[in-house]
Amino acid sequence: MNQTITVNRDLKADLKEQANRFRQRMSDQGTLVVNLVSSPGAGKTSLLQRTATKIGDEYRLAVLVGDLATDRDAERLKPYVPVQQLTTGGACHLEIPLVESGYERLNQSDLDILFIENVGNLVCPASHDLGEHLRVTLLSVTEGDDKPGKYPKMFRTSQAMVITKSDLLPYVPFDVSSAVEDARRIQPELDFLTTSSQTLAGVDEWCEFLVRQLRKIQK
Amino acid sequence: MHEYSVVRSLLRQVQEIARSNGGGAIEMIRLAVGEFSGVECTLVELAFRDLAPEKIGRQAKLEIQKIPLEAKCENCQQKIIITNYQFCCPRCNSQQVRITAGDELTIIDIELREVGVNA
Ligand SMILES: [Zn+2]
Repeated sequence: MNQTITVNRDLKADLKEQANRFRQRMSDQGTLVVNLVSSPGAGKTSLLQRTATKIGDEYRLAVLVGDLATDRDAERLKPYVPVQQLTTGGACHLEIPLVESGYERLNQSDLDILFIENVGNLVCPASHDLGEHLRVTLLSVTEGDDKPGKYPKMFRTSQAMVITKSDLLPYVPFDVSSAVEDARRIQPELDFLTTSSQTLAGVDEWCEFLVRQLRKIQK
Repeated sequence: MHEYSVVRSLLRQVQEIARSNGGGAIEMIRLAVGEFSGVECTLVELAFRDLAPEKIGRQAKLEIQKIPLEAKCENCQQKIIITNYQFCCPRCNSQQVRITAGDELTIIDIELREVGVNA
């Protein structure tokens, strides 16, 4: 005879609770947490460099950089903004314990915006709450405008989409309006912006968007 | 692919549950996996076959209950089965639909061999 133990427990209950506690703590101290997700090479690091150049004097920013093994992205950001590297040891996504310990190492409690640069991957990071207020998916125009439908969970759980590398639009078959349409069938309230880290087009709007979100936290 | 970390976490948790319920060998684990949970059932099964024997023994089996993606229209209250991830109400065309099932990853129950009984 076997004994059946009823459990009915969410496998990620502990991680979800930790993420909620972290988010509450960041809200209480007025820090906006932004989780940036994308495929590899969509331009997260470049956009963060431009963001830091634009508003880094006015607002206290910091970045937690997730990387599989190297510290290249962290090194690229260091001249612009305080950075802590989160090495996942090959894992394809970040989890909240790694984020929280990276945040402690930053040793700054007066931040306005804490960015988390997630590992380049549109699948696994979709299922992990990092205690962020805002999940932003970057989609570069070289990836194709059919990406949202291929990664429904990522777009469903994002609040904004940033279409990057817009300077390349004349050279690639990417239709901004069909990408937005595709994404909004999955997430009707998705905000979207178009940027280029080369020409700086849209970078002002992106920074204004961030500041509007920050005001909601610091009201 | 994060199914290995999911299964590692599953094994840790069922070991704990078994320990606090007398420590009998784990015979069966029932897991609910939503279509929108972000994990692939076949990859979970593969990872389980790979990791379970060493951690909880060869006798342990995994049964996965797949949960379809369901939602409710906030506008007309219609219950909807979501297909192709089109979050839209077929009755009133509203996009204000709330997911009600299909994003879960839940341990339903586990079966333990009674202590002192040999298989
Ligand atoms: Zn409806």
